[in-house]
Amino acid sequence: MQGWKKGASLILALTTAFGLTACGSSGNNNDSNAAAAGNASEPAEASASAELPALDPANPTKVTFYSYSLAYPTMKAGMEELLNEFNETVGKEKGVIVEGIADTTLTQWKTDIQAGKQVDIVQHGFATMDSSRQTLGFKAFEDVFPKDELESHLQGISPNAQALGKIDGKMYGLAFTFSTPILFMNGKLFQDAGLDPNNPPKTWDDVKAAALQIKEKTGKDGFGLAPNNGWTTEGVILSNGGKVIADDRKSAEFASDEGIEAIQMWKDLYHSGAHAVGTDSEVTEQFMAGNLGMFLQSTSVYSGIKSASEAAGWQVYGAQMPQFGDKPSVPVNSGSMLAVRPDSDIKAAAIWEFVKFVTGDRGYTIITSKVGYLPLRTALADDPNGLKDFVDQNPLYRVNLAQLDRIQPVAIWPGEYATEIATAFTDAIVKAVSTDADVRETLTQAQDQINDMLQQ
Amino acid sequence: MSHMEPTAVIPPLAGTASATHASVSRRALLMRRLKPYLYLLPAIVLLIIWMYRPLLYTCYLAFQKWGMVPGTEPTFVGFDNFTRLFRTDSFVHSIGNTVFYTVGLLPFSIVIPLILAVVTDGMKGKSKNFYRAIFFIPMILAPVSVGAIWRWLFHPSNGLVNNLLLKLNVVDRPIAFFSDAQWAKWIILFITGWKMIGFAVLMFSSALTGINREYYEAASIDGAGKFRVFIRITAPLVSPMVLFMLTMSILFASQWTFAYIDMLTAGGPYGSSTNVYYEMYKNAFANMNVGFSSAAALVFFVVFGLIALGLNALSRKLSFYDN
Amino acid sequence: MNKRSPALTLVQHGLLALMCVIAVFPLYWMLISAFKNESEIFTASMFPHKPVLTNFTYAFDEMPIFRMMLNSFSIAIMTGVFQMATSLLAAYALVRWRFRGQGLIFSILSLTWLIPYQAVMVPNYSLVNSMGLNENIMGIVLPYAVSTFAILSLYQSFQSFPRVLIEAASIDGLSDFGILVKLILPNIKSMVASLGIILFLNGWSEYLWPMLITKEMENAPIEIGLRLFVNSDTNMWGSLMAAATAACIPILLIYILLQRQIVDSFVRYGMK
Repeated sequence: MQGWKKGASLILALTTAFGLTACGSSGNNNDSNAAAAGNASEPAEASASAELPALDPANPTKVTFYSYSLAYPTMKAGMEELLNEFNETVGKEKGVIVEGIADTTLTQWKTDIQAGKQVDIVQHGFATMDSSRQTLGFKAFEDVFPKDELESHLQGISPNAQALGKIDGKMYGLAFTFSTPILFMNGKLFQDAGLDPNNPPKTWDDVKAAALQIKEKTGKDGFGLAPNNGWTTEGVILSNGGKVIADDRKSAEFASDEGIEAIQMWKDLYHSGAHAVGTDSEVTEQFMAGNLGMFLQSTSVYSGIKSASEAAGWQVYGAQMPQFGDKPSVPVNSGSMLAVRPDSDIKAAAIWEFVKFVTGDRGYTIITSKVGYLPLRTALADDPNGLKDFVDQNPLYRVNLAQLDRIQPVAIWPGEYATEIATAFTDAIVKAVSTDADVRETLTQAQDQINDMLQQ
Repeated sequence: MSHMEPTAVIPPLAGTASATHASVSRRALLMRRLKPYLYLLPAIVLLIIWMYRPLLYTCYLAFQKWGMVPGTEPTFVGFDNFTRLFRTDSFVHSIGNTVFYTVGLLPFSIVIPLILAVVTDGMKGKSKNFYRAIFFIPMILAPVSVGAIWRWLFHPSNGLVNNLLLKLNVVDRPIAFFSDAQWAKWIILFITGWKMIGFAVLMFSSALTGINREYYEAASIDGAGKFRVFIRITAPLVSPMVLFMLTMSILFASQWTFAYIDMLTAGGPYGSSTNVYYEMYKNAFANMNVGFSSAAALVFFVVFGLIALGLNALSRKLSFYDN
Repeated sequence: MNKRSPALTLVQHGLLALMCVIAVFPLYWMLISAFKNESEIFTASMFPHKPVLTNFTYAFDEMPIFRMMLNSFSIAIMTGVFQMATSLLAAYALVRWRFRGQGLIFSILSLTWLIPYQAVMVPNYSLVNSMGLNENIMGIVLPYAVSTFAILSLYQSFQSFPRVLIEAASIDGLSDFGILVKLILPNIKSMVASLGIILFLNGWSEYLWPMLITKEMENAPIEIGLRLFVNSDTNMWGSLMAAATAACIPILLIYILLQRQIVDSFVRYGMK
């Protein structure tokens, strides 16, 4: 019987333990439901009050900032500097502490919202903003921040950039980091192939000729644009006069003749024998390792490429995105905006201070010079107190700035199926470019499928 | 439990039993009756909390639309999730791939390990142990490490495999193993299988060691050939283990491939390497569409249930070899 | 059995050696890549000519490796112990007694085997969140406190234990729990040890669930930390391999130390 007692007490201990956790769980559950219910009712009050409550420096308000740039090795230091400078100056003075959270997976903020954690500010991509707004509780700037302050703050920010975060006339995100694709070139491979990086290829035909020449002379791949890159593709379609999504955002239009022709061109290049293969990150790795002549990619990876090239002893050059014939190219922009979900007025006040700082003159100066994105207050590039010196030393940014007036926003897929639609688009491009599949058939099929989803 | 018939079970006690003795033995008997359940309680309670309660909840969610965001409530959508499920390309693809991975893994979980186990079983202690120890190494490595290493080996431009293939003139263009639809799922299968072999060898070895040596000795005295010995003695005796590994392999193939799909291809290119479990994960945590994910889970629970019932019946047929 | 031709033996050993190379080469490549310097990392050289430690210093600077290893050990040991305790009791009950509902319990157990974790992850994720165990080791361990695999494996090995011995011990006055602890366990301890090691390894390599629960390196097991590192770093192959090496070392050390026990226990197992 002694043994039995031991066994029974063990079992008793175990069941008690689980009984307790079960109780604990239901208790917490109620709490979080209550909190969530609170969340849902508060924004209405926040929008009603025109003025935000005063922050208290002695009792600072903590807000969280989910940023994928914080997780990116080449951008991390610059982003940390941006946050530290805010916390030590404006934050200390007004009473705000921003906690940066490195979003390694790009979806951590989503799962953290699911997990009921405090998610206040998110560095959010453009393409899926509409769906986040509908399902994840993001607020329009007009509804939570003081109107006059917002208007004066937006002055000086490129209108193209502002338009990106607007849905149904309201701003759900303020452009934060901004980059466009440019054609990176490996100076050493260019010279080895007898090409001049200072006289870069201008059209896609030039690109193909140069790529084949590099392949022939050096044995390395001449050109790379990963089929699954996601958004540079849209620039290729737009540059040929095509469209990705209709102006009213009610249907997809990438399978037009222009779109198909553009993708067909890319497909021919891809199968020319001089095009790099692999995923976006693999092609990036190939270029960084010095094994790729030209690389069409966002400027956001410039700092990483620059340090890799310096370590390996070759020079990186930049050119504008290639064009079709004599039509000027139409690059899209990638990057992110700041999307906010304040759950109280005091939180809104704290978030507003942070947003003003990082999208102000000082913020953009740090973002461009230390993180590597474009200054959205374009005047800064010629401001001696701002970025003039930096841009003079890094002429590659001029290439990017020169493209800014031709730029078009990346497609914002409407509704709750945005992620599925974006995937369907990318999948179709990968299939059309990298396999034997017929371009017209593949794209038309994907377009029909997407239009089906849009109508639901 | 209260209506028990003590007379049938209690061994007759020596001497005469007093009234108090009778009540003690009655309590002891109650204990005795309850005992199996008490021993099983922790396991059962935990299974209910972490397996059956959530499974029921998943059944409920399969008919709802929900993004798992706190403060939002699921809304009832009837069979919408199911009808949409079967109209979605990626889901239909994922079913085919699930079958591909399940069947494709069988050589790695049964055929090769069984051969290796039989071959090493006939060896002397030292070399036998050495080989088995080496084969087992991939199994103890965790999937992320394994994924990282193979991603590096199979990298299109910097990886060793492509380097060698190019140098040996086997190919004239590097192969994009993870973004070429012709390769991606084979690579995932290979890595999963590579990791599995050691475990399966160990399982089969243990089954072989369990076989009484005397059978072999008797057979060799009878002058039976190696192959005959295998067919007549080894195969029947390891058949329960084969069935065990077969069941494991079929039921878990999709689980085992999950980590590599997530790390190496994210289901791509264009959904060609995804499987059902990855689609469930993607829908719940990337697309925030819990109802869809739950509907898929339900469909597959039913499908695997049927497969398992079949295997179970087979197992009963074969299990008489196992005494 | 011992009458084999030398040629056949040679072929056998050749094949087995090839299998060995396939099994361990990736590991070797990881190891040497971790020690290669920047100019050598992209070459196919089979040995680092000028081995460097910079890859390791970078990896250790970027990740709280020791902290994450501690997390991994805690998780693996706790899940192993919980699973072993619950399944020893359960398997013993199933072998020892015939009782009402046994068939039902067997079905419940076997059915569990069919439930893919993905089918319960969403409700469990919600539950763990509402328990406040997100980013917490207990949040990873609790859902894994019972393992049907362990129960059925133990059931199998318990069954091979001669019932006569159990009956004899029972008549000799050994309690039921005593029979489990003093009679059965000592006799099948090699099997239990092997199973324990498998459970530990399973806990160590669990992927999906820890990935959902922990997002910060400080709270993550080393494998999930490594995944975060893989995702964030491009082209730092040397450092990545150094980090992967670091993640593998504890488990490899355990294997080297206990290898004989792990493998021998299977070989020695088998009661007369």
